[in-house]
Amino acid sequence: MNLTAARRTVFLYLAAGGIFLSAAIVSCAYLLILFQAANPVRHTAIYFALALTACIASAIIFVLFIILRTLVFRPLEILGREARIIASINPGHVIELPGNHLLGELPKAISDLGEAFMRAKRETAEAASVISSDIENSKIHLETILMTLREGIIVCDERARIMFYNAAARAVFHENASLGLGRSLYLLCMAAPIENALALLRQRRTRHPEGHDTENDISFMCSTLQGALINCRIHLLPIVPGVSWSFLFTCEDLSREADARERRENLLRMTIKSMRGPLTSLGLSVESLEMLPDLDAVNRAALERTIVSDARSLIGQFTVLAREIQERESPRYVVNDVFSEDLVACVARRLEERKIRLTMIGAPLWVKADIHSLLFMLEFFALKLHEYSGVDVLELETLLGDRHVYFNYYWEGVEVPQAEIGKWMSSFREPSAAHTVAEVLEHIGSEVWSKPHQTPGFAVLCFPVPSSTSQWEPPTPLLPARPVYTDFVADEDAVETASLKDLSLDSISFVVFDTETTGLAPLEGDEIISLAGVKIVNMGIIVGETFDRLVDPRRSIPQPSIRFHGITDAMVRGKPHIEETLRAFHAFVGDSVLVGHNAAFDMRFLRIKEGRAGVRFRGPALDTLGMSRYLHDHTPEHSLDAVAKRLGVEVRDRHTALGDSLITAQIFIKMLYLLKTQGIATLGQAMEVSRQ
Amino acid sequence: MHRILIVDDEPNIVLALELLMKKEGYEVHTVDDGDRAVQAAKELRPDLILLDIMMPKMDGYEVCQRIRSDALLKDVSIIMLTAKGREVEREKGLALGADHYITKPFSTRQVVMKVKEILAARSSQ
Repeated sequence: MNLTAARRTVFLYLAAGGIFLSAAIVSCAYLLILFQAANPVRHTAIYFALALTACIASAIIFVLFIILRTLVFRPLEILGREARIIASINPGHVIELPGNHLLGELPKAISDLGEAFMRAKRETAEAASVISSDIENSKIHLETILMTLREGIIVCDERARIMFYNAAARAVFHENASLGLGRSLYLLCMAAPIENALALLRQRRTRHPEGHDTENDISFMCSTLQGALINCRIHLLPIVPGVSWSFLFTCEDLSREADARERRENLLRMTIKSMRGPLTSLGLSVESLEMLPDLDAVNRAALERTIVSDARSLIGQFTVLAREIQERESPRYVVNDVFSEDLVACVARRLEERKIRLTMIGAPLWVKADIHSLLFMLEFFALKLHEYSGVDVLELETLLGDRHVYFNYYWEGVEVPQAEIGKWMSSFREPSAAHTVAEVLEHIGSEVWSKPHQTPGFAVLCFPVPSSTSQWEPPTPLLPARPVYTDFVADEDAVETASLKDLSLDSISFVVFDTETTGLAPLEGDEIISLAGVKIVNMGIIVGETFDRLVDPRRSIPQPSIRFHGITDAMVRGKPHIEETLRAFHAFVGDSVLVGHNAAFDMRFLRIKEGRAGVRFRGPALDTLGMSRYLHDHTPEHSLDAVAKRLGVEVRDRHTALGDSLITAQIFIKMLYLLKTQGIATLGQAMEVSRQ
Repeated sequence: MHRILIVDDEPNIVLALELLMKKEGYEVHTVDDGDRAVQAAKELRPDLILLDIMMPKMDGYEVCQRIRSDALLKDVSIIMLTAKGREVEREKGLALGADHYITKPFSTRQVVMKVKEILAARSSQ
């Protein structure tokens, strides 16, 4: 009911009251007349009294109405308007009521509400500006760092569209106008080598989803569409939901260096080749003279002429070579160790498009080569075999030789004559690269030949490639061995914490962690079965550095608990025990501050095992549960799910240690911002809050 | 008397090899390209061919493969001479049917010994 309607109702009640009162008086007068008809003199007096009473009653009602209107209805009407102003236009509006009223504390309460509303609005705005200016600052820092690098950096999305580039990249591409955000990288350089590298990296990622870092990049030479040679490296970036960055492309202009290298290489190769002839004939001539002392004058003169001309030729060539070699520094090669399985899988996928089926047989091996050239050659031979022999089913086997890995193509049919292979050699690798297949082979250090297979009716094409030392080296372990830390005395804990207390929250790195356990009672034999942690640095989650381990609890996992965490006995069998895991986790945490949702629970489990693991988790632990109670004291709902919902954090992989850690980490970052707006900026203050 | 065919496009080397082989008492023929080498091999049916790899038009590998594919010539011994010194090339030469492979520069003793050795083995068969 609105104010006007209420006033009308009150007015109607008052009017109806007056009429009833008047009617009652008239009825009384009539009754008196009936009972006291005998005394006519008193009739007049009674009438008069009745009329007077009626008048007084009416006056009272009228006065009452006026009073209500002035002190209640009118102020209510004004208050309504004022409240609307506060709500819609100006929260800071001061309520002004004329004279006296009977509304008591109501106007003040509304004023207070307005003020609170205004404060809240201001705080929200401040918080938002703090967050956005922090983001802006981080972005500026990152961009400044990238801009100062001398290496050209380009970040691309899945479709090779440029998402970011730095000044050095602009220089590498000689101010090419095609370099721009949202434009394709392939407007700048040859697509083939980049696509090759990406295909190979993606193939590796499917093989090792959790892959080593070193397996995420490939270096190679590539030519720009303007014809310059650049040395580039492609790094496949980790997949982050909601982030379109897909790979990092770094490049350096090597044109001059490459030109020099190519010239020197050619010179060296030519010289070595052309020196062999004169050297051979010089040696032969001298030996012949020695061995044939009774040679006739004509043949002797011929041999002597040969010696003179060979010697001159050798001296000339040596002089040119020496000058070139001494003048220039040695350049570097861009070769990579690569697993043959990846190469073959890549080539096979591309051949599928041409309806050629290439199957890999035998054990995969490591080779060492310029990947772009190698991929090109492997595909080229398959295509040529298909073209020449008409076969569309090929097998490719890798065999280990002394210093080479042999890529052997097998097919049903006859071998390819050398005359045909000779023709292949003069094919061009790419229209723009201006290298013949022979030159590419020379560069790889290889040859190719074909012969009949031992199995009649089959043939083989041999393509040896330098073998890599990776063949004999064990793969790098995923995590380096960590030192075991010695125990610390308890007092150090307090000192440590005291010195940390004044640190600003945004300067500290945190590890947000969570455990999954067999039950809730660590003292009664419940054990940790999964431990995960997420790092937060500069108020941001470090995506690439998570800790996530299953732990063998040395006991069976109770059925009812499996319902929560989904971890079964079979999954933890053979996993490291808690002692080893805690040591690794301790190393992961380093000097970061631990954070957990209901951290006390998880900390109890950790503390119990610390001694046996020989590590100690020092310093304070922050609790998002306590922080939530402090920040949102209007509600009793502080479960991880409830808090996540309140703060707008998407809940995924709930009830896995890593999933919960990630959710808690996101919650924690949001809480840090909220705490900041309430003046809580140091670790000491946050510890106070988190004890709620 | 054994018959030897020398195939090389380098006249100085041909001259020296020819003199040496003649001194050893062999019947020596020389040609300077791949086409003529295949032709001469068919006509002369030599016991041994000293075959250079790097030649214009048809290279030594192809000559070797052609000779090996001719049933009448499959017993001829082939020693490849090359200016390239890489392992893969030696392998390729042997894979295509050469009996031996000598890298330039080589010494006369080396060639003479190898030729004698191979011819002796043939005679004893």
